[in-house]
Amino acid sequence: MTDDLFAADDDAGSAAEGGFVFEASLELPQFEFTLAFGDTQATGTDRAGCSSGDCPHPAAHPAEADWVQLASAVPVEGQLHRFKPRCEGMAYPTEEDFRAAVAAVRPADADAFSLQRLRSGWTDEVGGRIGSWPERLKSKLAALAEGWAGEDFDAFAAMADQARALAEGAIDDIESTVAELEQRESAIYTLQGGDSGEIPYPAPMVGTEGEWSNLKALHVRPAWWHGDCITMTCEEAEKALELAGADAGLAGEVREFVEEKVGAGLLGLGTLVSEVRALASEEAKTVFGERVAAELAAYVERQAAIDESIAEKRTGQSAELAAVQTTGEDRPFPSGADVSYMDLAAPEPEFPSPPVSPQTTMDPSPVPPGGDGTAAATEKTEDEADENPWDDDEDDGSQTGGLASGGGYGTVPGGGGSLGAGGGGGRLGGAVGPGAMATPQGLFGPAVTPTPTSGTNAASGSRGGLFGPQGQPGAKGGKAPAKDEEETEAKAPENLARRETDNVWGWVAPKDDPHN
Amino acid sequence: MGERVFDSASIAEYREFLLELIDELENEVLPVLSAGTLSRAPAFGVAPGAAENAAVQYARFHTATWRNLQFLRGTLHGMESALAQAESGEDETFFMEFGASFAPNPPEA
Repeated sequence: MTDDLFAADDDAGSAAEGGFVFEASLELPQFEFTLAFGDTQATGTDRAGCSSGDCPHPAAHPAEADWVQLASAVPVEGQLHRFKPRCEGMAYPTEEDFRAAVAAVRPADADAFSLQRLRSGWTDEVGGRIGSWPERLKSKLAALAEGWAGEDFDAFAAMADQARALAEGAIDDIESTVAELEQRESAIYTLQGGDSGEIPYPAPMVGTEGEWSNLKALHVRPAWWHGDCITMTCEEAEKALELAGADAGLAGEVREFVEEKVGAGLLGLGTLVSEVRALASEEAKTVFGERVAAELAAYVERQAAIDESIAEKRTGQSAELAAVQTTGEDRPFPSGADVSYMDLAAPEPEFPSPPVSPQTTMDPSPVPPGGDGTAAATEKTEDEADENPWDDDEDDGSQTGGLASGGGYGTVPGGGGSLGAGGGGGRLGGAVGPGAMATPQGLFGPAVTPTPTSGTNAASGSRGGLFGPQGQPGAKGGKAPAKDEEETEAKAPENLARRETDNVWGWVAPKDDPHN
Repeated sequence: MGERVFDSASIAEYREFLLELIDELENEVLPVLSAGTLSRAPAFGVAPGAAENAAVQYARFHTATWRNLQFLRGTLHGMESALAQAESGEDETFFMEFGASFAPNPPEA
């Protein structure tokens, strides 16, 4: 367990420096550009991880590199605000973090580098101008032949024909390359979600520090998160489970079970609290072990499904890129051409700036951000997102707060609790106020400013939250942008048997819940 | 060898046309490639295949087109000076031919 609050800070500093070193190399010519990108990935891997020694997560989400590669190509203009993250059955980044991630992996002024823009540049600004030249050269030469004949005319006509051939050749190259670019552009656009804009996005990793039955903290780590994980106490387990797309109700059941056992155990005089607790937690393992294992397996499957979807699209994109073929080679010109007018050194192009590793700064949410196209809609969604996915919690807060009995596992962040747990807990407590949750946090905000919010406040506040989203089972399913077969399958009635173990929505109506 | 025909007005008209092409090529078309829309390399991204192939293919096309347009440019200039030469040569030829055959110009006239 980490005792050094500032260790994370130092790590962060060096990671940031790594980032700057990388940015300094943005203007390298292209052959080094790949190397520079390699550095980015290295930066991603070297980024400060969670300072808690028992943190279950790697510093970087395993799908990050694939996603950067998938999203970095720019097929069309104006795509940034059409994108929507797709994290089937899991949690989403905020609108702001998501847009920032897309922007970070794409070049500055991305539209100007899009295949679409360049393609239309060739068509409109070059092809459109010289397209008529071969025909004009031909007809003008025919007209000239009326007024000029002789050996010198024949030589001139031969030169004019070669000029026409050069123009025709350039036009042919442009036409075929434009057609090629258009085809690749459309394929890449489709792989990136097409008109729907839905692009799979690495879902936050959720895991436990310590055994679930005797939990130290839950660690939530979104992709591109720097430093300490977002940690949640046992009291906040519902939220973590919900972010994992798991059955949030399970947390309460386990907690109640343990509290009950502990309460009963303590009735006997002279019993040590710790012993009673240990016993209760063992019993909980027996009773809930299978369900927990099933939830965990389902979570791992959901993570893998998203990661695979990203990898698959990225692979498809690579196939497109590897197949790009253009035409164009030096064509012959007449000996009478004036080489002093030929500026043969091709101009050095401006290369798109390479991706920069994104940095996630806000807590994920089970509610997807919008992003349905228009700027206005985007703004609106941002506002909604800012107001925080959990704010419907508030209303329900009081009614569910009672569950937070303060005892039991709720004492986690104390004493031996990791600094992450303490800071994280305080932070989550802060989320009671609407908007607080989504307020951009400094990278190391949570760790450096361990808000002295008491466990109880934090717990009751955030616990209140748990039931908000839970109360709207449709929210996740309904708003989930994807309606593919898997999902349909998951929703199909014949799969009711799977609901407990493989419950995509993590929600079972109370009346359907066999454990109620 | 065909009959010698030389109409200065036709030549001048063609020359106008040539200068128009040269002007458009030098001031409107080539700058698009060197400084305008097409001065940028496409954002193929960083997935495998982009740097190894797509970017290379595109750069090859861009370079070839640039060079071919430059060849065209030199050719148009070569044509222009061929016209100028033909005209100035014609002065002499015309003089001599005039002296020799009194052929009017244009000869059909």
